[in-house]
Amino acid sequence: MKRHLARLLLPMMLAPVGVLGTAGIANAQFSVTRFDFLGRSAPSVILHGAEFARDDTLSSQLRLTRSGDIIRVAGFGHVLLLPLDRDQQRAASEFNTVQLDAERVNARTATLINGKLYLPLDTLARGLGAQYEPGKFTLPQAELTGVSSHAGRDADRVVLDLNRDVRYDVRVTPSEVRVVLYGARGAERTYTTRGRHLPRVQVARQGGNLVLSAPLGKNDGYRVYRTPKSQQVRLVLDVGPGIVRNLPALAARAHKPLIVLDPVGVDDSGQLGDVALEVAREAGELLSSAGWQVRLTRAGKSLASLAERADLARESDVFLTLDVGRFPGASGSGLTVYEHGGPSGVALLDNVRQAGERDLLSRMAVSDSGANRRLVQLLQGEFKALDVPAKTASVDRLYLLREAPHVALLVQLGWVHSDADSSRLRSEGRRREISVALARGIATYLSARAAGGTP
Amino acid sequence: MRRVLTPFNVICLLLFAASVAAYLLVQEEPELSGVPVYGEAGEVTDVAVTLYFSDADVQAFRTEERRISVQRDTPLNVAQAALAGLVAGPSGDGLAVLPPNSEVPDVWVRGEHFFVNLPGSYTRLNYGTSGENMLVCSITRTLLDVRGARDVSFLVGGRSADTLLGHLDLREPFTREDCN
Repeated sequence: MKRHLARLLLPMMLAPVGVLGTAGIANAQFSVTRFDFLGRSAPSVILHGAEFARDDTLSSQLRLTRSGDIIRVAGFGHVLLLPLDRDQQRAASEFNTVQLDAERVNARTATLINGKLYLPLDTLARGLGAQYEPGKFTLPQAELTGVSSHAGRDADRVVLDLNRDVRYDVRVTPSEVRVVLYGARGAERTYTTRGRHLPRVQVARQGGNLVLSAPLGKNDGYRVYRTPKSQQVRLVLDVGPGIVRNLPALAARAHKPLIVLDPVGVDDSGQLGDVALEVAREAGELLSSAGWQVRLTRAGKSLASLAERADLARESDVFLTLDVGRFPGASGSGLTVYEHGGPSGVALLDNVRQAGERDLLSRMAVSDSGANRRLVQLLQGEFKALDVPAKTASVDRLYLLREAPHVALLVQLGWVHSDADSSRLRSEGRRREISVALARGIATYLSARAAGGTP
Repeated sequence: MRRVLTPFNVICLLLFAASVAAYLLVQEEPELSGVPVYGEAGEVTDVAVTLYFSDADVQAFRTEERRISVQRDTPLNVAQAALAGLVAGPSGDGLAVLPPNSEVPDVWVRGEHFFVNLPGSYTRLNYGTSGENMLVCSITRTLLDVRGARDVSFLVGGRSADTLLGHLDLREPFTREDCN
């Protein structure tokens, strides 16, 4: 009887010893531990000598989907297919066929523990291009390992080889396409190709990122896509007229900006006549003949309504009001360039301008106040060359300048009562010089903007 | 013989007497209080105001401290008198911003918001952009120096208007920041 009792009690006494650090369900033997998952501590289990992590833990960085008994793991530019094996011991062995991108290999596979899905870390690291050692799952430093090119008839190609997948962003200006590789490392240099459409690309470091810059011709389209290559990742950039020009309309518009000249109508400007209209016409003709798109808010005496002028201001890339100073008893003289100060008053424009970090598209849609300043400086330079004194001032509540999303200035050509201004503006030659100065300033500004730089 | 002075008769008699007294009372002419005089002129006081005129280049303000007489020192009366001072023009070297001898713009005060009705004749002024800015801002700055003023809204000819002469945006109230 005593022996029988001892036989019964012995396993009960030893059971807690086995449970310490080890859990046993059916024939499964696993211990719970923790591992470093991309810099964060996360729970894992050791199952038959292999480390597994639960799907909930991995889903913070990977996209896991289960379709029947196949687990699809997507992340870092790779796709893995792991069969689900309910036999934990077999799943933890390397006699399973798993698919890593396009390659089928023998490796550990997914299994269920207590009904929860667990995946082997070494297989994941192998397929995702990560580094794994027991207790640590890390990604290697992203590195640009090679740049190659291929010249085509309608498009050229540049291929970037990376040791692993990186997050990238494409930024397009009307004349350039930039691919930003976040957190990537690589040599700074310019690569020349034999292609006509993509003669060179430049790789430069900006902050902790690597930026590839490629020129974009006027009729060129571009595409950027990623393709996995074994343990590496390839990023492909195609540029050329053979690719649909998929530039955002705002970027394409930079090549065809609208210049609106707004000569203020004056009932009585004394001896000067309608000098604002004459200057606007001359400057407009000069700009049109140079290929720019120009609109005047009036062609003759008839004045456009304020609403019509405001509509043109909203469509414009450069809006220039031309006026002559009139005020009883004033004794001022000279040319004054007014720029709008303070908030626009148009909520949409103000919100976009006040946004902390603006992306390229928003900068294309709404210029900041720096653009006004650049055109003011250009015009000042042009007037200085003519020996015409040009002052600058700021006015906060000019109706049309507030409505314009891009550059908008008011140029007061002179004062009606000023003899010096009258003689200058009545002289056909001097008036033409002012028109040329205005046209040249605007053209320089827009050319620099289209080139993606600042004049 | 029947008794005349029964309790019932006495009470009826008293009630009759009371009703006669009440009737006589209501027939009397009520005593009238004096007719109130609204808008009484009150005491005339001198108030210091700062009037904003233009400099010769129409770029900056020329201010003049002036003492004006108002009946009752209210923001409305002071504002209206200040606008009259602007129409009267400067006494120093500044330039008048409102046409001399023109109609003085009306002003209303609602709390800290001032409303100015610019006469319709102002829409025919031959002022350039800087001139229109100076006109509106001179009024704005003059009124914002009146006690309690926070912003100034403009009407033209008694109506809301987008602009006066086609240059300045009158759709929102003007504050000091708009007229620096």
